[in-house]
Amino acid sequence: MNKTECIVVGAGPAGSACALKLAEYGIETVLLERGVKAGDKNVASAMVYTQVLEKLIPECHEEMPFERKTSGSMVLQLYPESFLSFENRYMKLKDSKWAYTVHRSRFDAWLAAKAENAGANLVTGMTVDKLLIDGKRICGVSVNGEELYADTVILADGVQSRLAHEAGLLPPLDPAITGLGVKEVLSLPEEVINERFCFNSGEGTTFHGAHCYPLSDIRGTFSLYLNKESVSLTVLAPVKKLKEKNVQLNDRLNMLKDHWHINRLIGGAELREYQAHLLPVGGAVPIHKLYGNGYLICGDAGGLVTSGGVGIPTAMLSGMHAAETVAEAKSKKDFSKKALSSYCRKMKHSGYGRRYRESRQANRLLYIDKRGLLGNVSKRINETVYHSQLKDSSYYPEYKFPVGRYLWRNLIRHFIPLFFSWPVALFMSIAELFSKTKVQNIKETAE
Amino acid sequence: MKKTIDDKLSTCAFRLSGESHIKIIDPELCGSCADKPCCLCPAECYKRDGQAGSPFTNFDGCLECGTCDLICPASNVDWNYPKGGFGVAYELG
Repeated sequence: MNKTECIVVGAGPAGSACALKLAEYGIETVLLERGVKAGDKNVASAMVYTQVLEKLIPECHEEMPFERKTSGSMVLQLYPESFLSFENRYMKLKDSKWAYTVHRSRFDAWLAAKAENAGANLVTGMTVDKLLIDGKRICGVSVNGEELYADTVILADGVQSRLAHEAGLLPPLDPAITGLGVKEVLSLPEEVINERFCFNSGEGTTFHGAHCYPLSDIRGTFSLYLNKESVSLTVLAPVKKLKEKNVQLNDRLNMLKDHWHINRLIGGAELREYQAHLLPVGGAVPIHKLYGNGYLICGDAGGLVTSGGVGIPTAMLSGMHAAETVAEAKSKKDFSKKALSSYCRKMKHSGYGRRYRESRQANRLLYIDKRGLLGNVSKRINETVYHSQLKDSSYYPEYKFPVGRYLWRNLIRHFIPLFFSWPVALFMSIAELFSKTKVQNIKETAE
Repeated sequence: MKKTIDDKLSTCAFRLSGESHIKIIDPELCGSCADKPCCLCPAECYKRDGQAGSPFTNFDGCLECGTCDLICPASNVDWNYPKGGFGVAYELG
């Protein structure tokens, strides 16, 4: 019987971070990945924020296979004939504050290799068929008909998480708050990108637009990320809206590419790769469902994504906490639900608890948004700026004082209230007169 | 010169297993489905061509997003990951 101490399913950021940490604690770990190499199946408009990664790999700034340092972000709301954009750029940041755009296939492979170097057994090209359940406890996995047993199984198998759903560990995905992302990687020469977006080599930015021109009816968002020699253009929309409006997301991506402004930014780019993936949303899975007898759930599988769709740092954080929990459980030799419950506590204390509550509210705005708040507010700003600044200010038509309107408005404002108020005023004054005389009479009699 | 989805899929690298990882549980049920929302598949594995029965046509170009499983109103799609090492392999994910 094959037995190991810990099995990690999925070598994404969550799984690799967990395996790396486990290997550092000296726990025998098997890291299973279904792609030929780690990162083969992963898609994201990927930004890596390094605060979490630094805790895991202190020298990450030198070693990481990143594309560009991002020194800011841009909001870009498109309309058919106009656009609204504002830009943040931070030029003097410390190392730890940088975020990086990466290609997931390269980044995940690097992180998995790090875990392997630390001592975890990385096995690629292996799809886990099902979980082995012994009574009420998860005790291993079945791979290619072979059974592999372990004290704990870490499920970091991504958004669909077939294993967790088939074993009934998690509620089914909700199409209303699960997004489908369709992405194109378009190649452009490095100099052209630097010139068009005004950056030095190695620096870049990200563009985001929500509920704007081609995606307003389906509550979609788009993003444009700058890589070294390519750009990633992504559209994302909740699956339920796509179904209701019967929209093929690829058509919307084409519409976005045909928009005159996007065309100016990325014109002449050649398609390098076409990708699609689901994105879970934070707050969809209650935190107390992320652990149980002999298993822990990390990363996208547990919906550990913050409100803006940022999943990589949270995934790595959850992987690290899962590894700590397993190490504690090993020292107690107790792998029951109660012993593993400290994972939930750790996640809450790490700040995810707050993010969880925030993202539940943010979901409503980003994916459901019945009144169209996000789209309308930015459109209103766009129109206001147009009316206040961009109308032809050199020409004023001759101004006539609107006498009639002025009189009529003032009539309503002053005379009509007066008309209704004079009987009241008269009555009040008469009443006052009487009351005074009465008071006087009383005073006189008293004297 | 619009690129069709087929053109776009030709940019992706696939390793084909020859064995479908998507199964339609009851193809007759698909005939009675009016909307066929699975046809919104971003890789066009499902096609509305007016035929009776299931709109499922090919699994080779599947990008493994799992939308069909999520979107099917009758949960009629048995979607699994392809066998280990097979399926799409993104170079620039």
